[in-house]
Amino acid sequence: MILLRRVVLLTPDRLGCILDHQDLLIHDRERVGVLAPSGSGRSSIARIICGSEDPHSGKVFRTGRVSWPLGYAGFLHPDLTPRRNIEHLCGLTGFPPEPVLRIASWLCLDRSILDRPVASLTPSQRGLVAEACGLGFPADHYVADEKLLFGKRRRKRAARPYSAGDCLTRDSSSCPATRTRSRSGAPRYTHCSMGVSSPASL
Amino acid sequence: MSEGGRIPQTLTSPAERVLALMRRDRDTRFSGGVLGYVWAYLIPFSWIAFVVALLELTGRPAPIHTDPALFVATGLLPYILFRQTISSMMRAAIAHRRLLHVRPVRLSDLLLASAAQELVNLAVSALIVFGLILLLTGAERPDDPVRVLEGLFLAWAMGVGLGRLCAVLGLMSDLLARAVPILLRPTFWVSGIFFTATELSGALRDLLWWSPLLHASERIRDGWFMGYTSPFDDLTMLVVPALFPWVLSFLAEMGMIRGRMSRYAP
Repeated sequence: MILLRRVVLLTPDRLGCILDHQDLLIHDRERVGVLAPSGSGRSSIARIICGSEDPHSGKVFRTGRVSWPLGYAGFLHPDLTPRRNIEHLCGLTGFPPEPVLRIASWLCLDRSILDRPVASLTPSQRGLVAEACGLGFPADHYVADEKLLFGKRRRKRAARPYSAGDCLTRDSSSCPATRTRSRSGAPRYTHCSMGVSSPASL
Repeated sequence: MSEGGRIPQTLTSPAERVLALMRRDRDTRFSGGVLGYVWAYLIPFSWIAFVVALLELTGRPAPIHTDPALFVATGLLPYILFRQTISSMMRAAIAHRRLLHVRPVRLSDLLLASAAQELVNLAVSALIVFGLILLLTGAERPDDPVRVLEGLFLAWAMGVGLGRLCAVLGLMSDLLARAVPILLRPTFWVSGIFFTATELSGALRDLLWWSPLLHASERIRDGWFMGYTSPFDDLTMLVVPALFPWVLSFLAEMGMIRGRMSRYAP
């Protein structure tokens, strides 16, 4: 369960409000989408849920482990291979590397990707590795800060169980919270969605 | 792993995270170069060789009756330890900030790992430098090794204190991040690399009493050279400059987080 209690999140210039005393409850096994235009603070909301950013005021309660925003590739060191990056992340988080690498290599399909320096990968391969890294680490709640993109049909097929939430969830866990700009995509992939409007979008 | 069906937020202790970050730093720093991590050890060597060559060229003998390389090393190593620790912590705060997304990694973990890595690097460098000098020149061994280690450790501690403060302030201000190396440059001339405190005239000695780095190098020389007794023997001048900025850095960090003053988005 993730609970946001009277959370206030201001825009970077502090003149506007992205979240104004917002309450939000995400139950276990529930998929929630954030529907909002560009620049209105979707990523900030994702970071608040993940815990990598604190709100200006209000409280955030989380039960269990929340993933970092799926698709985030910022912490992949360009000179290291994805495999080595994952091993380092395992050292930091305390998870054994073998299961994480197994899931990551299954998601990447082309296993050679894991043994090439991140700098030599194409942007889509990097994105795939970032998503695979995020999904490989066990969590009770997964937060996607990007549209989960698996590209070719073969990859889409491989990823279907993930988007259906079957493999992502643990016994009593919730499915990924996601963010999207697509009005049609939100209801298709989520149980419920919330809209965010910013002064810029009005 | 799971507790009541849940995965705990934290599976690693701070010490484990620091060790993991140190391993990552070893892998990534200087990566891609031909010599790789050897650069970390070559830097002190090149500094010592440069200063010894400078002394030879200017015809200035070592103020203490010993090998010039050993004299320079006892002054230069605490200085390098101090400066490298500050630079490394400032770099780590910015370069590794994206790892803060990986909970439970915190800024303190990044900074401590960076400082600890510098201590390890310089400890290895010091062993090689002092070992080679003793082996090649037959110079005297340290009279009081504990005092030598104290001096080196306190120079590192001063670097950790000031480095933590500069790293936090550097996250808030680009101007400060760029100004720190310039502001610290004069410390090279007042840290006793080329001279000892006994050589200084009264007024200059009173002035340089306020140089904590000179206290560190004097402590090392006092401990190493049997015939040398330093007039600078004040532990307060080493402990206070280490502790004061360190405590201040936590206040600055709290202010930065509360005021959301970091110039880097999380």
